[in-house]
Amino acid sequence: MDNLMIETRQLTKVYGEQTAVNKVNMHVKKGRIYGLLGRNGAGKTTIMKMMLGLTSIHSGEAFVFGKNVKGNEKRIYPRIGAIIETPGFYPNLTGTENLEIFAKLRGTTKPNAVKEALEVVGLPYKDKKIFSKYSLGMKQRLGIANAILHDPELLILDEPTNGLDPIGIAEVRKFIKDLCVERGKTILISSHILSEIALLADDIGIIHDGVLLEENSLAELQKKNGKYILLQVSDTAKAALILERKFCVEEYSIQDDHTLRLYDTTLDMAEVNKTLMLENISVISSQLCNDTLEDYFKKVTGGEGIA
Amino acid sequence: MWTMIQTELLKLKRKKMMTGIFILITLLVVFAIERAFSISRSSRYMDSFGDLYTMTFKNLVTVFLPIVLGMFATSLFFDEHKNDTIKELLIIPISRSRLYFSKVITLFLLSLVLCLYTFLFTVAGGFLAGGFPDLNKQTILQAFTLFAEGSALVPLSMLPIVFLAVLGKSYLLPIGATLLYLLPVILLPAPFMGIHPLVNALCIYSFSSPTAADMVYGLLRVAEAIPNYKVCLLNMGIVGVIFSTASIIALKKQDI
Repeated sequence: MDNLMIETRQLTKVYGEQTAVNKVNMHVKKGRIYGLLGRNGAGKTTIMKMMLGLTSIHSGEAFVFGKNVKGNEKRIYPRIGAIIETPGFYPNLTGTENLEIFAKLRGTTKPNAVKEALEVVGLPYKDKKIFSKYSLGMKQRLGIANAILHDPELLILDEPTNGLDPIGIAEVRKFIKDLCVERGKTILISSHILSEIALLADDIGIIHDGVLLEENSLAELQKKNGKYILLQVSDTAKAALILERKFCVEEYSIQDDHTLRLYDTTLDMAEVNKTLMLENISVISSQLCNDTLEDYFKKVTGGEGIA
Repeated sequence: MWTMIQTELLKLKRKKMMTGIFILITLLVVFAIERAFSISRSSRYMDSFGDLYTMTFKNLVTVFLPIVLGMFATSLFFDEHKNDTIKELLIIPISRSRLYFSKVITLFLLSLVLCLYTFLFTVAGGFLAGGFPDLNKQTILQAFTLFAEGSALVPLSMLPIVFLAVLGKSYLLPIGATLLYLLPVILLPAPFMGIHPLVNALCIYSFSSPTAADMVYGLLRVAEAIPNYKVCLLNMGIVGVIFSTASIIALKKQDI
């Protein structure tokens, strides 16, 4: 597909006997924010590292801008800005000096590139404070400034809000949104914080134990996890038939022999209960439910959910 | 490559290790000059400028410079891992071989600066102490040649240590290895002639001038141990190429 900025095909990474990333097929569309969601150790960072050539690919392929990463590093990487894990800088230098080094190495020709990048993240230019004296939040901001220094088309951000205070998180979130909406950047962001991803991403990939369990747009996922009526009856097959015939219900799912989910929440439940009972179906309970993304994540990963 | 070397030099700003190196080297020269002041010119230990500059040079290239370069190389490579900056560099992207060569050239540059610094102070010390009948253009040029040779040959000899620094697991291995690497040079260099790069460097110095040859014979304690300088240079070159190749392969295989 032409509008794919990142595509992985059966991407796999094995460390010794442990498979860190298992046949991942990921698709990041141009101009969108893709949230890679998973618990710590799920394989998010390893996927990003393989895309950036920081770790070797065991099997499978990674394509960025339609080109295979392997063999095209010099053409691909200058168009990417990235933060992987904690941003790395020289502790004996100031923020400005650090960025000047990276700007020099990147061959950044734009005048004031360092100054502008620092302004965007709210850090002072030509400040005397050396990096080792920076707070965690300042370090993270400097990492973002370094990632955007050369005006890349694609940003790969591994947990960029780590260590930031709530106000800082909100600022970075707004900044990432703006980069996508106003400047048309494509962003791949990873996080173990579901609420962060839900507030930022257009598309979400759920990864667990190295396996990409689901990849969908946020809108689709939200649709799947909206309100529904949970109906417990003596016979779901018979109940479903009656609901279809008498109430024209089309959107429902049978969970097991006794449980049904009705996605049309406008149904008159008193009438539904009465009709089912008249047809000799016992209604054990009926309740209006509202599942969150976290519930969905729990269900998909079969785990205990995520922060 | 020049840009990379420039950035390597920028990274040294405010590094306490650099201040320490220059303080120590100044002490080394001050010690030599103090000897020039305190020992009479009638003593055979300090009756010529050759005695002064070979004493400084000997201490520099057999002990001080290898230790400093071993520590410096370790810091150059290991700190990129410690500070997590290696991944930022590779994402730019900077090839691992270019990264290696930029750091090795920086190592050679530091060696050159330290040798030049020591040379200038030694000459200045010679004039200050006075009384050296041979302190003239010719001996100064001989001293300069010897220090220039040392500035190139010591870092070349240290490439096996650089390889250990590239492996980058801790400071301990390359620094410990540096000290072990120095032992044959300090204790018993002659049997290692043609094998050990730092001892081979001594062989090459001996062809620099008669004064340098005397210094090397004094260190080796056997004149017959010195082979042709081409053999020593070839040996050093082969060791350098082998360990540089191994370092680049190790860098390329590293998962960050």
